[in-house]
Amino acid sequence: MSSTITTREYFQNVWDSLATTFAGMKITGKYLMQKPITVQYPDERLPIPERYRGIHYLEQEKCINCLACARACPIDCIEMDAIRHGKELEWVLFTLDYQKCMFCELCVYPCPKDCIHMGTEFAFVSYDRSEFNHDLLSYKGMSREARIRKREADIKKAEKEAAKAAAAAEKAAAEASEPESPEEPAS
Amino acid sequence: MTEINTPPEPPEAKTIEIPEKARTLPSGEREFMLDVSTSDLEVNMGPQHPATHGVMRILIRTDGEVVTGGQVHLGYLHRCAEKIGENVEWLQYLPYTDRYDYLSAMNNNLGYSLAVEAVMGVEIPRRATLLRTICAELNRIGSHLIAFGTYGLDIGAFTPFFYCFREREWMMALFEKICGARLTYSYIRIGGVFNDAPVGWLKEVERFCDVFEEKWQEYYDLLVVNHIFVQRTAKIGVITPEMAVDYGLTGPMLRGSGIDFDLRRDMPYMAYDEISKAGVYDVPLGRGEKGELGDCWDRVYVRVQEMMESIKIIRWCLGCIEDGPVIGDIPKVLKVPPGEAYVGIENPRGELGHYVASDGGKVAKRCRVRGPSFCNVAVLEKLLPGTFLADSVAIIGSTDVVIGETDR
Repeated sequence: MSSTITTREYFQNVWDSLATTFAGMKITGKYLMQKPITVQYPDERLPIPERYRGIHYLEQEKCINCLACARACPIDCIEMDAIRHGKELEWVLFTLDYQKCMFCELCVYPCPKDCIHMGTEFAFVSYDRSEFNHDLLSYKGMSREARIRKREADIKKAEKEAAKAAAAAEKAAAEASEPESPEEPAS
Repeated sequence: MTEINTPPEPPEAKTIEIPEKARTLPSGEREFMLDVSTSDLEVNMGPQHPATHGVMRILIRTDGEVVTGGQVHLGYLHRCAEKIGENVEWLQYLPYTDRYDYLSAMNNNLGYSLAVEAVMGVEIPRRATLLRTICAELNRIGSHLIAFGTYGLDIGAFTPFFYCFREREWMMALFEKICGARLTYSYIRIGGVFNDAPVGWLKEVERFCDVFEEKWQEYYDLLVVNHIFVQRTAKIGVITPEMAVDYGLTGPMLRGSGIDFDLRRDMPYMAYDEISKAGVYDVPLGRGEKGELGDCWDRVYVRVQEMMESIKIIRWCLGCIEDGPVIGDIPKVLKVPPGEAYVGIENPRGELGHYVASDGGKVAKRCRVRGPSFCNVAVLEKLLPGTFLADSVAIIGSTDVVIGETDR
């Protein structure tokens, strides 16, 4: 390691150090006189843009249980289950495991009804691991409107069955009451 | 082969011979403990360390203050990314690509998407190409800001770190507006980009460019030409041009040694052949201004200059972007035809290469990544011996290693 320098170099070093230090201090001094840009979280918060990839929310009325989002997830963190009654769904389960979720938004794009979205909520704190299996449903079972629709559909179906049965019975009666039919065995 | 896991043999323990008359001090007292034998100390610059830029373990052998050997041990952040690539579908692998070089995630997404698109042979719309270029260059600025800021922090300069992060916050806010995430974007996808820029985003990028040019001058005056920083980094960790080529270095480590090679200009991809032909930006090279050619200062200088060149590229893209679709003709269920491709792109750290092999299914057959940091870190074993212990920190910082990329 070379450690011998001339006197001229020594004083040049001293001058360079002082000059560049003062140049730097001029910059920091400028910011000393300004208001700091620190945002005192959690008292103050920055605005969150609308496209932010936060905790999911589901529009349950639109969902048709097609499992496209569950298939698109790279880590399989969506679990959903619903029982189909005719055209209506009875919801049993729609959970997202936030211990696995990596907030990649790949589940949002394939949805054919555009009903799963990612919101602006990002804080998810809990003392227990079981709470991270977040339930996205706003109600379990069937909604009131769905039940009304199902009942009306059942009634309509029952009416149609009854009408069909009545028509079949009439037809049978009409056939039976035909006079002098050729099938009657001759006496 | 025994050299791989065991460090080389330590040199002989030295016994200092002290003549009899030196054993008595002028005051008449006798010295104790003069027959001390010294041997080299092997110390772990262990996986947890504030200055190794991640979980990297370096076995340093020192003789007092002088380092006599250094061996790098990797693998503490290995997450089997390449194996996972053989088990998830093409589009599902995209979030995993973010996570190797987490400081420049857009470039990773870009490399993977370009490799798969090369196998598929798909046409990317113009707006998507320009948006990709803007995002990749913005992320290059962000990554160099961290490299520069944390390098100052390793050396002991605390202020430039916060200034660099102030600009990086703005860059992350821009990315948050366009794709919703601040670090692992998953924005550049196979076939284009996921969503179009919101209204006003391009104007804000232009404002960022204007403000950044003033702040760049601040970084330059604060740290790059500061005499203390120069004294700590000049003539340290000199990589000669021959050594750089021999070790297969790429990126600022190669250009810091004066070799003029930039993948964006010499093996262009996306819009970069247009950009090079239009002469929009220059490739900054180390010139040995403050010491020798290829020392740590040259590499820092190259990174800092590259930030300005990225601004020029962004301005060019903003000038010629037009409306249009942002995603090409990609089926919903992606099945890539059989074939293989290797595409290397210019990451902020060097050449990031993706080798993708497909056998016609929904899942890749092989997805191999050539991480630039992994190849750049090999030179440490040659650079560290002979330096002081404090300089070894400066050398490790100047390689700008990100362990997520080294280990995947």
